[in-house]
Amino acid sequence: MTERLHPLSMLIFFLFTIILPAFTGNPYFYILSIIIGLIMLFNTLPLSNVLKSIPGYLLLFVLISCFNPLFYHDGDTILFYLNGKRVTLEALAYGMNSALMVIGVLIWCRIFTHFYTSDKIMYLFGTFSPKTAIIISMVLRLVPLYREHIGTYRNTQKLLGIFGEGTFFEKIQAEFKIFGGFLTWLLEHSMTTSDSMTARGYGVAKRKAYKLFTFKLSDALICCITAVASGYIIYAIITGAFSTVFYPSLILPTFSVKSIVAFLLFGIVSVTPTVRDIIYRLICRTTTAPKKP
Amino acid sequence: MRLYYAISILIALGALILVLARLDKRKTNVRRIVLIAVMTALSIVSRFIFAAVPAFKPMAAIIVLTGMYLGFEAGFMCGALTAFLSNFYFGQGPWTPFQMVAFGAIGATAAILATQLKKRRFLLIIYAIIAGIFYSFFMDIWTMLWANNGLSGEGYIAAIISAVPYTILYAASNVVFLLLLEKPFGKRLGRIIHKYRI
Repeated sequence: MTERLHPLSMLIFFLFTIILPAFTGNPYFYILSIIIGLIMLFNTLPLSNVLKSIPGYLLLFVLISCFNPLFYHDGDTILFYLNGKRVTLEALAYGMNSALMVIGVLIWCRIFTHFYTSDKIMYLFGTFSPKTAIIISMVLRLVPLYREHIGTYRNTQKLLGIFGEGTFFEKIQAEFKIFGGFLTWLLEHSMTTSDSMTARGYGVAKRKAYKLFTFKLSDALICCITAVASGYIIYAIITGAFSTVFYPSLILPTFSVKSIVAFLLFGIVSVTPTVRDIIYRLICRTTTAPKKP
Repeated sequence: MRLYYAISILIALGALILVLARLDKRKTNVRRIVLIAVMTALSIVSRFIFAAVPAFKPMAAIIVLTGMYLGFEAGFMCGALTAFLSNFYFGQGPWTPFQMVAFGAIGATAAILATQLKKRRFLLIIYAIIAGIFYSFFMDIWTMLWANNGLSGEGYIAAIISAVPYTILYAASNVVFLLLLEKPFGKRLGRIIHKYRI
């Protein structure tokens, strides 16, 4: 369902979920963003795929949390001494706060990579820079082609007995021979491509992008709601509703009406695609499942 | 403190969009466009080939060669797009805009220094080392903003020290691959440019 949105409104949504939490500096905000991100990740990717990456996130959390107290020694509450330098609770808390932010950003970036497919990138680039868009589309085609072609080259050389035998140095030499041949083929091939493009009239008129997406009412609605929510959250940040004090001693942020409204706004906006997806799936299941006679 | 982090990403993104939009205004030969795409694809494939080895990759060398032989625009575009598109295979994240700017700058600078770099081999080696160090130091700014306390000299030095092995690997891989690839690339690209009058 999220695939059918306009790339611009999707980009605004992802900027909202990826960048905005980083401005707050508030651990509760990061935890909220991580929970919603994980729910969305579980909803979109296969279960085993997500579970496999969770140990990595935990490891990253531990690493970043420990990094800060090893290099910063400010703070009032001393936990213990390491090599004559004090390790403080405040520095540890700061590290944990940073780690939460980093993990939230990583989770949302993963969702972004999943949903923001090449056609959407092409569309977005095509509107402001058609030249970049055509280069991107060609690269996306050429990368798999080259990977395949290098394999073919290698197999041919193996069949001729040039590759895969001899000392290490000879192997490297053979590899270079393959690369040289591949390079010649690739450059000549590119010239054929460009001639073909010229013959078909590339560059004759101003280039326009093929409009694959239309900006619908739902897109406008999403943009408006996201803009209003981020406006309110930025207002809450500026007025200090989220402020967490780490040094000299740790003061955890308190909840106020302003911050609770901001939490709710962020939660509602970022959870909406998942909720819609689940509702759609339920509707589809109830309507399309064949009834037993 | 968090502001630096988010603002730096936005600045990097904005700079990229501005540069790309400006480059789009210039009139470019079709053949040149295709060659930029080809070199970008090649450097992404090279990242695949060396995926198992951390930090020792020929990407920067190919970008430098693109800048040297095909000009400023090609160098910048090849660098920025290599970082952007290869991260779709290797993991997209907040580091992407920084990598794009760093690789783009390396390619564009190689284009500015092209005549000197082509003439003297030792200048090429020095440029390769400087490019590796520049890339590492530039990414250390990002490390500092990402995991540490915003802008601070102490944090930056800590990030640089923890990344020293990577800095050495970047510089070494640049030198090795530029020395290995300069001749075959130069010969073939020069021939193509001469033959098709690009």
